[in-house]
Amino acid sequence: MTSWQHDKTDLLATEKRWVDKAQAGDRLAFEKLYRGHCDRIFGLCWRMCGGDNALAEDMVQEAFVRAWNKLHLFKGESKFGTWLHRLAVNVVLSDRRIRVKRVQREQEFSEDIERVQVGDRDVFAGLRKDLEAAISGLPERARTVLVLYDIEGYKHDEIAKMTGMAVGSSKAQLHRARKLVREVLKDSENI
Amino acid sequence: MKESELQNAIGSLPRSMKPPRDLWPGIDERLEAVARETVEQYKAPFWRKPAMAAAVLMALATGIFIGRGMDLAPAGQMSETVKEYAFLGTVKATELEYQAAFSELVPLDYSGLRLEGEEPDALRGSWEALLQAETALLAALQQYPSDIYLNGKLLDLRSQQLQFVKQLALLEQNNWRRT
Repeated sequence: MTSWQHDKTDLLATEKRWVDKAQAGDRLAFEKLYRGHCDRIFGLCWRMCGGDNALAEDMVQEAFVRAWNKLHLFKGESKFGTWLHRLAVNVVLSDRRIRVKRVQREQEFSEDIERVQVGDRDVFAGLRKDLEAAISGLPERARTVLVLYDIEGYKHDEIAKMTGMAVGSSKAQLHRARKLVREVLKDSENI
Repeated sequence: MKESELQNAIGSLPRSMKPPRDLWPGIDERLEAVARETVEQYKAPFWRKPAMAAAVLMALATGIFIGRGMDLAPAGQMSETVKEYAFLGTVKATELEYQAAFSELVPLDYSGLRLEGEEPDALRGSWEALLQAETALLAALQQYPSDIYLNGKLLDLRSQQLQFVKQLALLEQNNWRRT
């Protein structure tokens, strides 16, 4: 076993101890789990919320509160991170504010793709910045599929299950999303 | 940009992002609220169950004494507080009797009784009137649970309702025999 594998095994064992303690009601252990996963969950929520910092923060908090309440349901069949990630996706998908935004966005969205400012801080440079802006400006459904498939690595059937759309729709939304992103990037190159 | 280049670029975006501020205090606050709720839920039965049991026992005991016509002490010597307790016990006993009778009435479905010649509408009207009085009384009793006057009224009302329920049961029985 390599040292990297050793580290990983240690990390998983430590995490399992935290999960066990948290399941027994230890909030300090749960805070450790939060510290270990918050960046990952924030990244997911931030992108799924179209770069809206405040909304993403709400989603992260909601996801962790829900995780605490449902912790007894986690049986350790998957990694805690995987379970938490999926739970966070469901939290974002089921949030009413985002659903309302989705409807508005889908209605407003025409051939022109709006450029959305990415976050409060200009942390992305060059292509990455443009990419994030393009993804943020995507219509809700297209963005959800693109984030979950291209960035988070979910499969179409998993996305279909989570979002309640057909597998074909998921594929179509991904195709649409990529096309729109490419158009935005092309526009920004021309500016 | 080619399709594959785009996919690579998207795929290489960092999955993790640091939140602009520490979100744990907000989460911790909400978990604290959840914990408080849970504690309250666990706490409630701790005192509620014995209290309910005590109330039922007292009601039964009072019901038995009164039912047998036994005097614990000469009425004149009974303190006001004891009288009050005895009275409230009677109310509770009647309440239990009524609840038991009512639970038997529900499967009877009084509204659909085949009471030929008994004018079901009039029966229903009387019952609705009793129910309205019950609603008003129970609302008042929620505010003043130990009020003797209100409890007396409830006792009267329950007696009427009990009588009504028993009559209905009798009518249903007779009606069933006829058919």
